[in-house]
Amino acid sequence: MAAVGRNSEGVLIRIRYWIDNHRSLSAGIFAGVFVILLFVYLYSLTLTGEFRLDFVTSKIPRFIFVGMITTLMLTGVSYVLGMSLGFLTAYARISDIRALKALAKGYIDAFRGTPILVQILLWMIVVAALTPGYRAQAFVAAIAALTINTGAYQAEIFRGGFKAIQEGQIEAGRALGFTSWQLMKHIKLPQVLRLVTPPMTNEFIALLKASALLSIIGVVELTFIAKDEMLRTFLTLEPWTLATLLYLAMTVPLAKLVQFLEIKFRIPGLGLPSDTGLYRGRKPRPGVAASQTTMAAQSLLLRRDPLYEYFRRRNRSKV
Amino acid sequence: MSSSHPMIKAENIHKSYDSLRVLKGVSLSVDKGDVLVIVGPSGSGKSTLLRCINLLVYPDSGSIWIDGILTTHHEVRPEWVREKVAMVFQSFNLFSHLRAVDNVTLGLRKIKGINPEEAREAGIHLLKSVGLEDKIDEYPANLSGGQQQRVAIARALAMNPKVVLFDEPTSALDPEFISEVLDVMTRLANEGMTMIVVTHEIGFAKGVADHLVFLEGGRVLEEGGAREVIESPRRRRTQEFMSKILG
Repeated sequence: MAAVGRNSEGVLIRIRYWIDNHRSLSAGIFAGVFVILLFVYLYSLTLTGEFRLDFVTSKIPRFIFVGMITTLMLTGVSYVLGMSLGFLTAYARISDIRALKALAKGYIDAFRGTPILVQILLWMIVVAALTPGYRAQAFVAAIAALTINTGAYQAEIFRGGFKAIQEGQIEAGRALGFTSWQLMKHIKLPQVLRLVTPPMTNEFIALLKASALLSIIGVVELTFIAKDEMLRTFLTLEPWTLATLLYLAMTVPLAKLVQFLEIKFRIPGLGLPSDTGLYRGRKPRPGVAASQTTMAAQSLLLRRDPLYEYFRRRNRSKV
Repeated sequence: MSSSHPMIKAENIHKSYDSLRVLKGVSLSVDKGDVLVIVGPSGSGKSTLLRCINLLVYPDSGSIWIDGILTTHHEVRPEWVREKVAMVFQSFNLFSHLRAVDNVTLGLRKIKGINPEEAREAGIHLLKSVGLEDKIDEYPANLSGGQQQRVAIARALAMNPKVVLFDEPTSALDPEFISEVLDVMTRLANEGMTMIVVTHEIGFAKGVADHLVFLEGGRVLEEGGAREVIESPRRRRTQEFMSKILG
């Protein structure tokens, strides 16, 4: 058993197992860690002097009505445009036409494999070269960069969704006399949209956070305004605290809302497994298949995972 | 309404996947109201043959007539054929985002354009006829295999087909659920539905089927009256196979 303890994977599994068995205690520990971090933050306040609450309250309108609105607008527009791009790319990726497939693959690889900051800078250069003298160049470059970046990620999300539909259901739909368009509308889409909701929510939040990088090309969004206020007033903690809270005000409620809707409109056997922590207090319904991730986690806990067994044996032989 | 032509007639069907020749000239014919059972070892082309009949798979050559209409002719829309020729699958293949009754009525609503209330009534009626009146609003994931397969049969019948094809409908079921599905199929046969059933349930074949075809290597090796082929097969290969599945 000592060998298992020395194995980092074994330790992780044990921690996970322990957390599962001591829910309230582990919640207490996390709360404690949070409080300690809060104290560290307050301590840094004492180093910078007083916290200028009056600055924060007076700048709230600018942060919200200029910064946050721009951040939300750019993220929202790019996300929706990226969704159409992603959907079409996913469709190309699973089509039978080889050239289309290769094109989609190339696009996805290129934009998932490079830093978004580099992409933003390149788009700015391209847009500036194409539209000399145009005043909203940064906006155009911003939307282009975010759209095309998120499109690549969303393509992979949609592809995963389509792959998760059982082939047999599509065959059954064809056997009933559905045309391929009707199959898409009544059988594939309703299932794919449900399956992709959690990763698509993550993608929205990731994109919203990535939009902070747009400050570098001069887009006046939330991060730009925080930086601007810092340079003007030489206050540091105040503008960045306000920006942090406003980012959280956008992301946390959204994630919670989507989670709530997901549970409310859950269909047994599709998407969310019933035995995740989300359902505490609800009875798991019989016959609902556990998701692959849950099963993988369970097999880890039961120490039947082949990879785990491999490491365990290798470690043991070392001792 | 003359019965001069068979309900299904297939002539000299060939089908290959790349270099693999699955069907090498299969012919069969089923009269209206008859039940044909197809048996054969795995890989003999049974499933492919069924899929050719409702054009889920297009045969490379050969002709198929459904109720006297040549369906392998290119002017016939495959969707039209599939509406007339329903299919029940080994793995049920219910739509997992729809409740039992919505699985049954999806085709009525979206293909035949029947309004939702009427369709629901028809769906409930069909589910009652397969003994599932208490599972109308359940999702597939909450049903047992036998219940799922009965919903799948109700779904197939909803389109009011001329023929129902069954592709090993009980092979994926736990033994305890097999009889409830076979009972529904038997009743359907007694009500005069034309059926082609790929199965190894010899009891069902003996009791319900009119004809039996033994398929091997993409060819019909033996055919005849169901009871007769099961009890006194003429060919040695058929004898071997029958003795194996009779246990």
